[in-house]
Amino acid sequence: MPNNPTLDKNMTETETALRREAARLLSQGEVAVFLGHEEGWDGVPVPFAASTAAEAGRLVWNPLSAPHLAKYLLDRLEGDEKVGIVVNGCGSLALDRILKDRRFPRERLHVVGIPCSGMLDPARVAALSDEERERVLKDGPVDPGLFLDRCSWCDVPNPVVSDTLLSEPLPVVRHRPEYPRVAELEAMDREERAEYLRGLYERCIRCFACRNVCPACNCRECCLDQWEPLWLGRATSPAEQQMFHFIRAFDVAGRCIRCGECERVCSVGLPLMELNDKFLKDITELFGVERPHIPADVEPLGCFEPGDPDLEDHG
Amino acid sequence: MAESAATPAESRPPGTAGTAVEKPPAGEETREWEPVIVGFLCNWCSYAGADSAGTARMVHPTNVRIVRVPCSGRVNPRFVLRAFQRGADGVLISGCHPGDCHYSTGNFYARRRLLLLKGYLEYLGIDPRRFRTHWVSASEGQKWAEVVRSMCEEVKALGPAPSLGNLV
Repeated sequence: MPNNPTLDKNMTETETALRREAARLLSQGEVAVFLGHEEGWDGVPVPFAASTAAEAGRLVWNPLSAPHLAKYLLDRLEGDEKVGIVVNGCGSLALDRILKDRRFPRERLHVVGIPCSGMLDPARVAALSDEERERVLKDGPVDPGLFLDRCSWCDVPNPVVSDTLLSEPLPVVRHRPEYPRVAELEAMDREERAEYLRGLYERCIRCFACRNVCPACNCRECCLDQWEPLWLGRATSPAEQQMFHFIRAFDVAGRCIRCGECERVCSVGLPLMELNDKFLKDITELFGVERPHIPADVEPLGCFEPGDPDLEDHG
Repeated sequence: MAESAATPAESRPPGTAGTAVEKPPAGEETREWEPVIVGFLCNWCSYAGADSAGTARMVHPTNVRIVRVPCSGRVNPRFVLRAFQRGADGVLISGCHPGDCHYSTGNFYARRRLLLLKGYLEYLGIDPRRFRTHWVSASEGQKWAEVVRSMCEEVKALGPAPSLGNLV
């Protein structure tokens, strides 16, 4: 069931509240650093770590504050200083992923939450004409196609982890996730699908941006960087790229939060969620997990039921 | 490297074609193509089961190259994709029956992973009949011989696996 993302009309007030709250936390010494966004060179917010109350004044919160910040916590594992972070609904899923994977201690966090009704895709907005862009960012109306893909199915507008909420929680309408792109691919002929995916691997330049941005790809040492064993050959070939994307998607199967950040940062524009969504869809169909993208205490591949479908029946 | 399923074994790069030979030795011009099947067998049940099939002198095809693993839960799904990339025509994973795992639960976890893998391999374009999982206990030499025979026949009928564009 589709969602109807809208732009929050009170983002300027929220931004002011965010700066005030971050400045308070930093000046009172509650946190040593605050993770947020600042204005990037092309007007798109980029991740930013404020460490003084004055720097908190550079924080922004606007319809393009799409990048998730939770992954940056892994750069701050050393020491015991507290870290402040701002999250919206899906940003809190990314944070929860890191917490459920026990990669960062909850007690070292101060989470500032912002209920979110939708965020725009910076790339789609960048493609607009200057005046069009200004109109959209000022007061809409906004074409639903300009929102991030994840907003069209999101049913987690309110942060699932937070210490402070900057505005009132939004009403929640739960719906079953759907995977139209996977269904489309599944309907294809096997050969045709293999050919299509081969084209995808051939375009990949293995920049690892998808791995680096993924909140579920949070191992201490990544198998893709290992020499011994050499899981991934260094040669550039469709097979190695296939292996790369297989490893990436399989290792986050059951832990993927379906944020689509991998796709957003892909430097050659690959539809990477077509690989991740297949696992999410199968996990629902095979193991009856209704919303597999929501971090749970026990992940679907970290448990089993004696009554799981049997493999021998599958031939 | 876009070969179709019907790629003849002779056109594959050397080293990936298993028992297929480009120039058959004299007197063997009509030697039939034989599939290469990689088998991951759990040490406690299926490996012993295959052994008992051998000691009982049960006749069954020799196409399965056996890799002994401590548990079906040891089989990383990457092993399977890599086997296909390096020229396997089929992959067979065999372990203890659910409930009989030497480590109590290893095969239950494996079952979830392999179920996902099965669907995914088809998604990637690999015929699901080329990837099979069976539960064979140490005493089931008969079943092992049966499994190998049926899988071998099936893969043989499918022909050589399509190339996945590997360099090697």
